[in-house]
Amino acid sequence: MIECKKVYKKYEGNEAVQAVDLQVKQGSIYGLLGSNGAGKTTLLKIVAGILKQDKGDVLIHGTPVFENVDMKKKIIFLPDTPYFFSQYTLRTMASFYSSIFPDWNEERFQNLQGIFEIEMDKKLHKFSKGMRRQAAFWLAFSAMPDVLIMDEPFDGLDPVIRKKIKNLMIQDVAEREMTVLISSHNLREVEDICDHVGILHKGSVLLEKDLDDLKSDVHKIQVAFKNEPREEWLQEMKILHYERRGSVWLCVVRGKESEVESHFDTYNPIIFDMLPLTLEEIFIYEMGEVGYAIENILV
Amino acid sequence: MPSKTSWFNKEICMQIFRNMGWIGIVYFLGLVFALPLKMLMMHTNDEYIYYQEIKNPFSYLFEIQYGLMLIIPVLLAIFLFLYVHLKDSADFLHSLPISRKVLFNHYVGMGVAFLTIPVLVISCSVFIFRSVLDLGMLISIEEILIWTGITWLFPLFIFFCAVFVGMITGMAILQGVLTYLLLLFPTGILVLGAFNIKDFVHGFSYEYYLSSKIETYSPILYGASFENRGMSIFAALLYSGLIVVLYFASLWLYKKRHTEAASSAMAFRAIKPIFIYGVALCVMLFCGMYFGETQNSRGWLIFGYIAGSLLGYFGAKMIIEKTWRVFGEYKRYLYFAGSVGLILVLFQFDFTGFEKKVPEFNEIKQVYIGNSIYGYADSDELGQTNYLKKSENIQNVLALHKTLINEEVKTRKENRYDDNLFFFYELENGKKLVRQYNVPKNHSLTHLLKPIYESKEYKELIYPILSLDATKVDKIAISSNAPVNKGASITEQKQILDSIAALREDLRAETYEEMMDESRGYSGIELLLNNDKRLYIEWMPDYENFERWLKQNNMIEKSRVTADDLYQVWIAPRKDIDQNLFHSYSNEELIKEFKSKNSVLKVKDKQEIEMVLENSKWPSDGEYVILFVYENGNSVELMDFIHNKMPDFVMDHFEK
Repeated sequence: MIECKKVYKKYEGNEAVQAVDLQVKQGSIYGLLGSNGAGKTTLLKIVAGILKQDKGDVLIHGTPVFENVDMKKKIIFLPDTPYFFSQYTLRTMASFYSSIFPDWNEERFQNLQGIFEIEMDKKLHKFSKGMRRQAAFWLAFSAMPDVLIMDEPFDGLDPVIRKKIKNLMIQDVAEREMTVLISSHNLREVEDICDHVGILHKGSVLLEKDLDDLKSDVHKIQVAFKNEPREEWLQEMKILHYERRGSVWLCVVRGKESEVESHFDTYNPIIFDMLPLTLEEIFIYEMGEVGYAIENILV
Repeated sequence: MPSKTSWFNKEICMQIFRNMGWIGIVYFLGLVFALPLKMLMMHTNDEYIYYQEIKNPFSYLFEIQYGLMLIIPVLLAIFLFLYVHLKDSADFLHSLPISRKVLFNHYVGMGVAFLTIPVLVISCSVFIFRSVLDLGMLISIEEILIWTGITWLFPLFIFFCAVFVGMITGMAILQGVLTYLLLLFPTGILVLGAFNIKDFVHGFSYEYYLSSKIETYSPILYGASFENRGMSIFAALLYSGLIVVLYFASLWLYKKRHTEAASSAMAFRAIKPIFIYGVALCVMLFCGMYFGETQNSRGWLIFGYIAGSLLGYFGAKMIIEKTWRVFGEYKRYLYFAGSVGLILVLFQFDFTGFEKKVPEFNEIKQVYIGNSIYGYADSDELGQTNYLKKSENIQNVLALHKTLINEEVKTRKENRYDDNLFFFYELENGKKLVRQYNVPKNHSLTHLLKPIYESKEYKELIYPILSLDATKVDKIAISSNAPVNKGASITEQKQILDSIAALREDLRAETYEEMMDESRGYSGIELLLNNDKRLYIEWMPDYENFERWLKQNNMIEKSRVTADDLYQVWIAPRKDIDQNLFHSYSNEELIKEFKSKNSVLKVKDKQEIEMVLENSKWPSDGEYVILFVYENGNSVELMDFIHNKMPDFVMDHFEK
C-alpha cells in the first residue's frame, strides 16, 4: 500500500531523511516513532505528496504520490498544527473540502456533529488549539480518505475526545480498510491502536515491527538452579538481557514460548517463571545500545 | 480519470475572493475617487479654470491613479501568494489533490480579474460621465480607450513581475522590496554604471548617457509620465510580451519550487549566489558613486568600493541566512573583490580602446563642441542645431580632442570647479561618438580653443542673434543685473535695427579671452520676436559699440548700473576680510568689516568706479574683493576682478 524505497530528503541543509525503507499494508495503523528532529514530519509530508524526496521512490498503490492529483484525492494529511483559511467557519471549510475531495460524505459530516461539540458557524481561528484539532479530525473523517496521515495527532486533546477519535479511526480501518500512518514521540500514546510501529532515529529507520509478533516473541524469565550450569548455557539462547540477584537469574529471551520453555527444562531449574513484559521493556531490550539512546520516546 | 472540471474549482475562487477580494475593492474605490467622483466634483463646482489642465482621463488626480497602479498589483501578488510563503498554508494547499499548475492558474487568474474588473467598470463610468457631464470637448472616446488600455496593461505587468519575484523568494516582505528594485533596476544599473565608468574611462560622457532617456527603461519611471506621453506602441507590445514570458517563467518556477522553501529568503539554491553577488556589486557601485561624487578623490572612491562591497556582500548573506553572524565565510568575498579589482585594472589599461578612439576627419559629418550636453540636446529657440560643419572647424576640434587624449594625466586631475568639454560627433555613416572631458581652469587650451570659438560659424551657433532676421524683432527690453531697479526698452523699428547692428558688431569682434573671462554682464537684453518667441543675451562690459549706441540715444543711464547708483565702493585684499561674513546676510556687518580694515581702499572717483564696474566679475577666489554698496547700504554685492584686469589705480594702491 504505502511504500518508501530508499528515500532521501535534505531539509534546511540537513539530511532529514536518509535511505528510509517503509512498508505500510492496507488497512493497518502504522505508528512512526521518534524523538524530536528525527525526521518524522518530513517523512510524513513526503508520503502525503507535499514535499518531494530528493532520491528514492514513494509509492501508494504502486504509483508515485507527488503531484498525483488522483492519488491525492484519497489522502488526507493532518499536520501538527491544523490549517484553515482565515475567516472560515467549519461549514465553509466543509464546503471547500467537499469540492476538493470527491469521496466527501456529507451525511457523515452531519452525523459527526454528535461526537465533536463544535459550533459550525463560528470562525475557526477563534477556537482553541484542541478545538481546531477536533475540527480537523471532523473534516478528515468526513472526506472518507483511503489513507490518513497524521502528525502528532493527539497533542492537546482531552482523554475523552482522544478515545472517541481512536474509535472512529479503528472503525474506518475495520470497515473500509483505511490505512493510517501516525507519527508520535510517545509509544504509549499509540500502542493501543497501532498494529505496526517503526522507529525513526536521525533520519533512518532503526526498526520496524509487527506489535503482535513482538509481544509473543520476547519473554522475561526468572530462573534458579540447584546446580549452577556452566557459563555456556547463556550462549545457547537468544538472550537479550540478563542479570543475577543471588541465585536467581532474570533473563529476557527471544524465541517461541515452547522452545524457550523446553530449553530451560534441560537444566532442571528449581524456579522457572515466565513474566509479562510491557511494550516499553521489549523495545528497550530489543534495541540494546540504541534503545538507551532513544529511551525518551518510550516513556 | 481526471474529472472534466479539474482546471476550475469554484470553491478555490471563492476562498481567494473571501480573503483577497478587499484588494480589488480598494482598487475600485481608489479609482472611483480619482475619476468619476472627481469628474462630478469638478462639474458641480464649475471649476472651469481647471478644465484646461484636463488632457485625458489620466489628468484627474494622476498621482492617485499612478499610486494605485504601482501599489495595488504588488500588494495583490504578495497577498495571493502569501500561501506559498507561509509554511502551514503551503503544506495545506499542496496536500490537496490539485496540481500546482491548476492552483497557480486559480490564484493568478483571480489576480488578473481583480485588476481587470475595476478598470472596466470605471472605464464605462467615464464614458457615461463624459456624455452626461458634457465633457466631449475635453476627453475624446479614443483617449478613454487608451486610458483603459494603459490602466489595464501596466498594473498587469507590475503584477506579473511581483508574481515572478514571489516565486523566487520565500518571504513576502522580500517579494515586495525586490519587485520594486527589479522595476527600478534597468535605469538604476545604467546610472550606477555611468557614474562609475566615468571615473575609470577617460573621456566617457556619463552626462550624455544619463540624458539619453534611460529613465524610460524603468517601468516605474516610464509610467510616471502616462499623463503627458501615454504609452508607446513599442512599450505596449514589450509589456504584453513580458507578461506572457513572466507568466510561463513563474509557472515553471512554481512547479520546480520546493514547498519547504516557504519563509526562506531565496527559494532556489541557484539564485542565492546571483543575489549575493548582485547586491554586492550594486551596493559597491552605489557607494563608489556616492563617495566619488561627494569627495571627488580617488582615495574616497576606493574606500566607497571596499565599504560598499563589504556591506552588500555580507548584507545579502544576512538576508539569505536570516542572521547577522555571517562573517565566518569571507573566502568568496575575496574572490569577488579580486575579480572586481582585475576589471578595474583592465579599465585602467583602456582594454576596449575607448579612450584613444578619435574619428577620422573624412568620416565626420558634423560636430558639436561646448561646455554643456544640453547645447547639443536642445536645439535653440530658432530651431537650429548647434553643429559645426565647416571643415576648418572640424579639423580644429579634432586637434583639440587629440590633445586632450594625449594629455590625459593633466585633464584627469579633477577639480569640482573644472569646466566640462563635450564632443559630439555625427559621422557620415550615421553613427555617433560622444566624449566628455574635465578641463582644469589653469590648463591652457587657449591656442586650440581660440580658433574655434572665434570662428564665424561657432559664433553664429552660440549667438542666434547673429543670424536672426532683425526685422522680426518687435521690441528690445534691457534690464539691469545689479540690485537697482533700472531698465529700458527699444520699440522703434529704426532703433531696433541700429542697436542690433551695434550688438552684432560687438559679438563678431569678441575675442576668445573676452568670451571666457566671466565678467558680469551689465544688463540682460531680451529680444521679443513677432512670433512670440524670445531671445536673450547678456550685455557684457566689452560690448563697446552697443554702449556707444545707447549713449548716443541717451539711454545709457536707464539701461545699466552706473557710478551714480553706487553709494560706496570698497576694495580689500581677500586675506584681510573675515571669510565667514561672505555668506552672512547681514549687510551692516560686512560694511563694518570693510570699514574697520586699514588696508581697504575706498573708491570715490566716479570714473574710477566705472572702471571697477567694468572689470568686475562674480566672486570666486581672486586676490582682492570688491564690495559694492547700493542705496545707503540696503543692498550690497561682493565681486572679484577679472583675471589680469585690475585697474592701475587699484594696483598702485595695494602695491605701495
